Amino acid sequence: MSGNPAVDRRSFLKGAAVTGAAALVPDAAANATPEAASQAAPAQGTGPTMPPVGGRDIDPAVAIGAGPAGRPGSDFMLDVLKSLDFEYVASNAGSSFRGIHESIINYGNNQLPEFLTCCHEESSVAMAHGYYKAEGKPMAVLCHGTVGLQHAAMAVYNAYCDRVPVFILAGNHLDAAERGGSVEWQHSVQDAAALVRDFVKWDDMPVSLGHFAESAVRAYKIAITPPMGPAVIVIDGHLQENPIAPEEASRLRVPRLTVATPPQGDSGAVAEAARLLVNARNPVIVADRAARTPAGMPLLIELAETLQASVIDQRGRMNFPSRHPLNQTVSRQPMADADVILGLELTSFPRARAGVRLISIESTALYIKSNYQDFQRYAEVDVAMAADAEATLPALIDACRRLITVDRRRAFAERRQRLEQAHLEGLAAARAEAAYAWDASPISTARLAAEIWAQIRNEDWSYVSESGNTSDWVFRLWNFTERYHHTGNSSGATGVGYGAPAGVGGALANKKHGRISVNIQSDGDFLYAPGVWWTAAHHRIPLLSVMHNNRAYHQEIMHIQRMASWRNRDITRAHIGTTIENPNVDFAKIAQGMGVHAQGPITNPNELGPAIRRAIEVVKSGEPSLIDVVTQPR
Amino acid sequence: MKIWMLKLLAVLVLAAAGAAAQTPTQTPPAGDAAAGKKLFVSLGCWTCHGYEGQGGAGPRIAPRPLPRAAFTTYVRRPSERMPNYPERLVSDAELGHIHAYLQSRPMPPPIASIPLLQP
Ligand code: HEC
Repeated sequence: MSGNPAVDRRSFLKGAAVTGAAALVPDAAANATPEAASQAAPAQGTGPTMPPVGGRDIDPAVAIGAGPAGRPGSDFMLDVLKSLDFEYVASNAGSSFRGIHESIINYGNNQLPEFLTCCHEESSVAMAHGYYKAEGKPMAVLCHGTVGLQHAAMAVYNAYCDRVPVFILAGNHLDAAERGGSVEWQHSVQDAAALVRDFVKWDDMPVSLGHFAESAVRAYKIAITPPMGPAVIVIDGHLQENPIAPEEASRLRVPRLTVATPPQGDSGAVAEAARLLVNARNPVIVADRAARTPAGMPLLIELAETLQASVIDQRGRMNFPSRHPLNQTVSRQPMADADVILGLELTSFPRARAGVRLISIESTALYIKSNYQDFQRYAEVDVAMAADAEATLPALIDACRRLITVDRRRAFAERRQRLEQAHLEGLAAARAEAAYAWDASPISTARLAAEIWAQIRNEDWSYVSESGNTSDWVFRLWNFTERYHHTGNSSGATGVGYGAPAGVGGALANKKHGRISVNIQSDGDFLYAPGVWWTAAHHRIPLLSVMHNNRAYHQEIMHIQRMASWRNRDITRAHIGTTIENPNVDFAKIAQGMGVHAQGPITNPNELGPAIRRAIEVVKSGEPSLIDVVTQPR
Repeated sequence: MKIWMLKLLAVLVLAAAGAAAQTPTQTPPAGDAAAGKKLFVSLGCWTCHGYEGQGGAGPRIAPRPLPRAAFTTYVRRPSERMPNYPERLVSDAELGHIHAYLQSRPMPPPIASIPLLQP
C-alpha cells in the first residue's frame, strides 16, 4: 500500500476543498479569503472541509489542519445518544467513527456514555448483551461498518436469538468522492447493515443529522419494544466529521423517546387460558424469557401460587426462585403427567403427549424473520397469544382467580402439598448426588458449584454467566431468590465465545450495586477473544471467574463418539480436533498477562475453597479475579 | 416407561435366566480395576459418565454399576443416546475390567460429613 502518495493526495484534497468551494458556491465564496472560504458551509460533493485524516496508511499528524469551523456533526450525535441515557459505549477504536469517538471523550467528557476499550467487536457486543441482562437497559456499541461489524456478527446473532436489545453504531464513509486513503475504501460499504440485517430488528443509514436523530431514537425504541432485539445505525464518517451547517443547526432537535407499552394478550384468549389452567389436573408453567423486568418474578410466583401449579424454569431470564416449593425444574417430573402446559416466552415448546392442552404467550410471534432458523419447530398449541408474557400475567392471574371454586381450591391445596414434597425430595436427591466423586481430581462440577456457593451465599451475589455445561449443579445447589441472582442462561444462539464477555458486561452493570458477580468460565469460551480479560482489568470490573476447564470442546467429543459408533468406526479417535491439550493452556498465566489477578490450575478439590476466598477479596477490592480449575467433563 | 428401561428389563431377565443355567465354573474371572481404569479412559466412557463414573451427560454408573452380565449386554446394545461398543472394540473380559474399576470407586462420604452440602 502506498503511503506517501496518499499523503500527497491529502494535501491535494485540502487544496481542492477550498478551490472547489470557491468555484461551486460563487455567492458565498467569490469574495472570501481562502480562510473564510474554508469556514463556509460545505457544498455537496465539493470535498471535505475537515482536514482529511483518512485510513490507517496515513499518519494522522501529517493531515492536521485548521479544524472545522463550528460544531462537528458527531457532537450533535452525542447529544442524541445522551438523551437515550447510555451509561457505556463498548468499542474497539476505528477510524470510520473517529469523529464520534473524539466527541465522546472530549465534548462529552467521557461520561454517560463512558468509552469502554474492547479488544474485539464480538466482545463489545457480547458485553452489551450481558450488561443488558443484568441492568435491563441497552448499552451502545461502536464499530466499523465493515471489518468491525463482521467481527461483531456472531455476537449480534446471539443477542437477536436471546431477544436482547443492543444499540450498534457502525461507522462508514458512503460518499466515494470524499473518501480518503486506500484503507477508507476498504472500510467502506454500500449497505453496511446488510451483513447483519437477517438478525437485527431494525437498521438505518441516516444521510443527515436530522435523519440520524430520528433514526437513533426510533432504533432505540424498536430495540426495547418486545420482542426486543439489536438495532444498527450506520453513522457516516463525513456526517460525523463535517461541521454542522448554520442553517441545519437551527433545525436540529433531539426527538423525545416515548417507550412503547408491550402488547397484552387478548381478553378472550386470556379467559380461555384461565379456564384451561384452573380446571387442569396437573398444570405446568414453563418459563423461558418470561421475566422481562423486576416485576416479572413476583407475577410468576403469584400465578403459580394462585393455581398451585408446577413451574419449570428454562432460565432464559431469572423467572422463578430456585427453592420455591412449586419449582420442579430439576426433576421435571410433572411434565410426564401434565394435562395443560402454559409456555411463557419459550424458545421452543416442550414435546407433549397427544391430548395435552398447550397455551402459549410469546411476543416473538409478533416479529419473526425467515433466513436464520432460530424459531424452532412449529408448535401446535391450543391457545396462542401473540403478546408479551409479563404484560399479560396480571390479567391472567385475575381471570384465574375469578374461576377458582371452593372445590378447585381444595384440589390446589392437595397439589401444593404433593409438589412441595417432590421439591424437597429433589433437593435432597441433588445433595446426595453431589457427594459422588466429591474428592475426585479432576474436580467434579458438583464440588465446583458447592465450593463457590459456600463462599458467596452470605454475600450480595449475581450469577452473570456460564459458558460451559456443569450439569446444572449451580441451579441444583444454590438458592436463587432475587432477580439479579441470575442474568439468564445462554447466549441465545448457543455459540461459544459469549460467556466471558457477557460475564464482564454483567459484572460492569453490577459494579455500582456492589454485588459480587460470578462467572463459571469454560476453557473453549475463554479462548475465543481473551482480550476481554484485559478490558475487565483496565476498567476495573469486579468479576469472580471460576473455570470449568475440562480441556476440551467437550460436547464435540461426544458428538464424534456417537458419529463413529453409528458408522461402526473407531470411537477411540474422537479426541482428534476436539480436545484442548498438549500443551495444556495456562489460563491463569494468560489472565495475569492481561492484568487480571489469577490462580491455578487447581486440581486438588481441597485447594478450591481457599482459592475462592482469596479471589473474592480481590473482587471486593474492585478488580476481576480468575481461578483456573481443572474439572470433570460435565 | 422409557424404551431403554424396557430393553434393560429384558436384558436383566435374560441375564438372570442365563445365570441360573450356568455352572459356577462359567462365572467370568474377576476384572482388574487398574486395567479397567485405562480402558474406561481410552474407550471414552469418561466423556459421558465422568472419570469416576459419577455421571454427567450420561447417568452415574459407579460405584454400583449394573450386575456384570447386564452391564456387558447393555454396553453392547445401549439406548440410542449412548454409542455401542461391539466385541471388535472391547472384549467381554475387558468390560469385566471396566466393571471392576467402576466397582472400585469409593462410596461417597455421608452427606452429614460434608458441611458444604448442608441445606
Ligand atoms: C457419548 C456418551 C456416552 C459414552 C461415550 C458412553 N456412554 Fe454409557 N450411557 C450414556 C447415556 C446417555 C446413557 C443413558 C442412556 C439412556 O438413559 O437412554 C448411558 C448408559 C450407560 C449404562 C447403563 C446405566 C444404567 O445404570 O442404566 C452403562 C452401564 C453404561 N452407559 C456404560 C458405559 C461404558 C462402560 C462406556 C464405555 C465403554 C460408556 N457407557 C460410554 C452415554 C454414554
